[in-house]
Amino acid sequence: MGEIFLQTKGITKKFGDVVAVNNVDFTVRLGEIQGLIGENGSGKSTISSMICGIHSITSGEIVLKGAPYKPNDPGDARRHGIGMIVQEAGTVDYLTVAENIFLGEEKRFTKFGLLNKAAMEAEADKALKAIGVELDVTRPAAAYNFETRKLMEIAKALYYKPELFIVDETTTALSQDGRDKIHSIMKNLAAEGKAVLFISHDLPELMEICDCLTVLRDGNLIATIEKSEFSEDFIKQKMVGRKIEGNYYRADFDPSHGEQVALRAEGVNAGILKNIDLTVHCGEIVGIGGLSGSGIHELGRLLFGMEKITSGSVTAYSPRQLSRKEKTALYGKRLKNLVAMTGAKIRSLFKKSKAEVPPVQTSLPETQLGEYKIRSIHDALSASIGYISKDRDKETLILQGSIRDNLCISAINELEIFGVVPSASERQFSKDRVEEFRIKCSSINQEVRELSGGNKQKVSFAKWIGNKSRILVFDSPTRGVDVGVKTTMYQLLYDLKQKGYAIVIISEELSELIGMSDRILIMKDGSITKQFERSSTLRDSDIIDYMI
Amino acid sequence: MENIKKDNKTGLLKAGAFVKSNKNMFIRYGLLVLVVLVFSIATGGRLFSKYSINSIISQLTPLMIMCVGMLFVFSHGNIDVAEGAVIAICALMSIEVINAMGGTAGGIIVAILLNILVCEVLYVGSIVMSVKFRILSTIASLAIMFTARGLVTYFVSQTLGSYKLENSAALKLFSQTWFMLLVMIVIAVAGWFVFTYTRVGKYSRAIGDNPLSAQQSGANVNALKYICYAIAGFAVAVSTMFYLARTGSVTQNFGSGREMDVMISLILGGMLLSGGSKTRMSAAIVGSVTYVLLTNGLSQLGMPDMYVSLVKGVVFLVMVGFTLRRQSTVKALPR
Repeated sequence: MGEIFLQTKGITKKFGDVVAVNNVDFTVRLGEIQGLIGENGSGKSTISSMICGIHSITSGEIVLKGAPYKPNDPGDARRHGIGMIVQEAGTVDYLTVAENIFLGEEKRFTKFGLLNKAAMEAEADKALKAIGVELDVTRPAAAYNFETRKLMEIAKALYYKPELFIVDETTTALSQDGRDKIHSIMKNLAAEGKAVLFISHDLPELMEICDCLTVLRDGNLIATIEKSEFSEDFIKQKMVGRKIEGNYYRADFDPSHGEQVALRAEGVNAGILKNIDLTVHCGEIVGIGGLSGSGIHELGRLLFGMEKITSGSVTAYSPRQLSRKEKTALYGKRLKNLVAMTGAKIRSLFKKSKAEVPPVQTSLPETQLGEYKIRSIHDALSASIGYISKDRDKETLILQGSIRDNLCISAINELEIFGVVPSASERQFSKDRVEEFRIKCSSINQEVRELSGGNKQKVSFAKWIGNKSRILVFDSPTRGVDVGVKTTMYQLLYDLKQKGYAIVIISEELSELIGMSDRILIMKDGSITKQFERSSTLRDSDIIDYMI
Repeated sequence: MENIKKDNKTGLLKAGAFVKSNKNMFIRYGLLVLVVLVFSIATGGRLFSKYSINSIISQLTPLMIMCVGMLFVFSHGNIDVAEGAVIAICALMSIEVINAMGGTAGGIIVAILLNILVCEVLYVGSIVMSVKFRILSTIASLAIMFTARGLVTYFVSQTLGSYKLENSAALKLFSQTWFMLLVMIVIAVAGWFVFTYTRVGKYSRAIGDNPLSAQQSGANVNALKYICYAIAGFAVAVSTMFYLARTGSVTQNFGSGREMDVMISLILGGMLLSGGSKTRMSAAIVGSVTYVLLTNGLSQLGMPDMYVSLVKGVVFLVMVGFTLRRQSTVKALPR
């Protein structure tokens, strides 16, 4: 076993009344990759932030090579030999690669107040080459994709030759290629006798890379496990504190689905997408897989009308729009229902018994199908398509809004009566969704920002399923979601399939696609290159060849 | 015993959380109550004498109408600063029209319609410009402000003294207390209803927080911007008549500073200038009442006008600082 580099003794972090990390002891040894795993909100990132001086320590202490260590800021941590790459993007778009790498350290290249740009660029080039990357360091960071920018951050962190390298959930947003790169960098560091702290909630990845795993739950240290004792089921159980079946995907291998076509793309060229042909039937789950630059996310955007189509067409078959007369009749029904609901509530005030509230009539009557050409978001919404973006927090949810705001905004069609959305209907609708999806919250008025990753994603699901979308396009539906909620999500997707929904899952996790899809389409360089039917014998390794 | 202790604590925590999540509401009504209490004591009740009430209503009416309209614009996080100058140019035109038509009811109606037309052209025009050419909306509104103010200055300088209504009783209706109350209440209720219960309001709040998400949830962001600026323009047009009725003439500085009145009112009503989900129409309604009571109370206590402006400035600064800090505290919390 390696020498102890860093040790935490009872460190605790409180944000106001919230205890994020509670009395945690763990050690990081030189020459080892130490993993830190836990559900969302279990305190992983908070611990690394304390080690790097981003957050102050409420109580307890950190011991670094036998001496007490109390960093004031990340620069301080760097001087103590600790380097970190963070979960989010840590580069500034319009600075050049070199400027990004030496951001805050320009002094190194300054003489008499003037910056020696050439020297800085040469050093930046060296820093990148040290990790096996070659870039034009004079171009702005924005010219490179997310993955390359992460590599810049790594080069930056490693330039200072840290003895402890902290990687915080960086790999979840990367393609396999980028992951492999980071993995090999971490392994090399450990081999050189440096310490690595790797934070993630991707269990298989951690099990593969780490020598030792520390499991956190709700800010408490639950277990520390050596590599020889790694067992996936055991660790999962520790993470969520309950037993989880080894396989949380659907159990059947029956790829059958409805006859009716729900969504069809024919010969579409749009942006990087080339000649896309795709058919999704009712009651079918179609998985879209590929590397992150292969166009899988753009395909999702295309199906929701967000990509400009240069040729070909996307067509959806969904319940047709109601005529004015049908709408009026529907509004009448809803109004009657609202009155009944209010009446029941008022009566319950006097009787002091619980109100027997009849369910709000929100659904459109079953009607014939209409044909919709999808060219804009508006078209997609008219065609009952729901879409969850890969970047859920930025695009799908309104973080500052309440759960109610988030659920109701896409469901105005389901709630309005002649253009007016009654508050009572909104409340009832939101309460029903919260119950249906078991969203953990203090009330429907709680801000979505305060929810955990899994519950946020439940709100996104509820938002589109609640508004009676028939075609669901979910990009990375389980990104940033912990094991417990994942299971629920998969069950839910399967239930939706049985109810006849047409579902498209876009994911960079092959096991998820194999586990859930009736059909998997693999994309490469903007086109669909291979199709797999659901089968019990399909393995990751069969697919990977077609992706790279 | 231990149980009781625990209950107490959760009770307190709950109360704390309630206050925290309803901070805007507490600011809104707390400030109103505070202003009413302080000034009714300090002025010995004079603030609420019959004469004073009439004066308060005549100041409140145009302000509240503007606040209600502007709230739609502000809810997107857009800030408009052209109100004062636009009011001046509308008032100037109204005087021309009313004088030309001999102060008849017909003339007043034509003037109102013309005001609405000009305001819509300026406001919708500025936001269309801002959207098409990707200019910050506040910059577009600054451009409108300078242009309009420049025109007013030019026309006023061409006449000796000021533009005056020849028939000073022409706009009498607009200074009748019952009529002011009626228009104010109708507009406030209509604004509240539209903002609280319809698509326009719901989407606008979402746009203020996250335009991308709003768009993906069905909001046509650009169309909503146009609609909200059109609503704001209408409100400015209507309030012009009440401002004009109070003075009967237009000078070079007519209407200047009204844009600040609107902003301070909204902030006093507990609104974040960045707009978003927390925006409520009551911020415009209660905030404008608080503001008018505050300025009236101060001048009744004998504070000279220049100090009143100073106080306005300080209030603005303090409230903006307060609302900004509230935002950043929330952001600092990690996952």
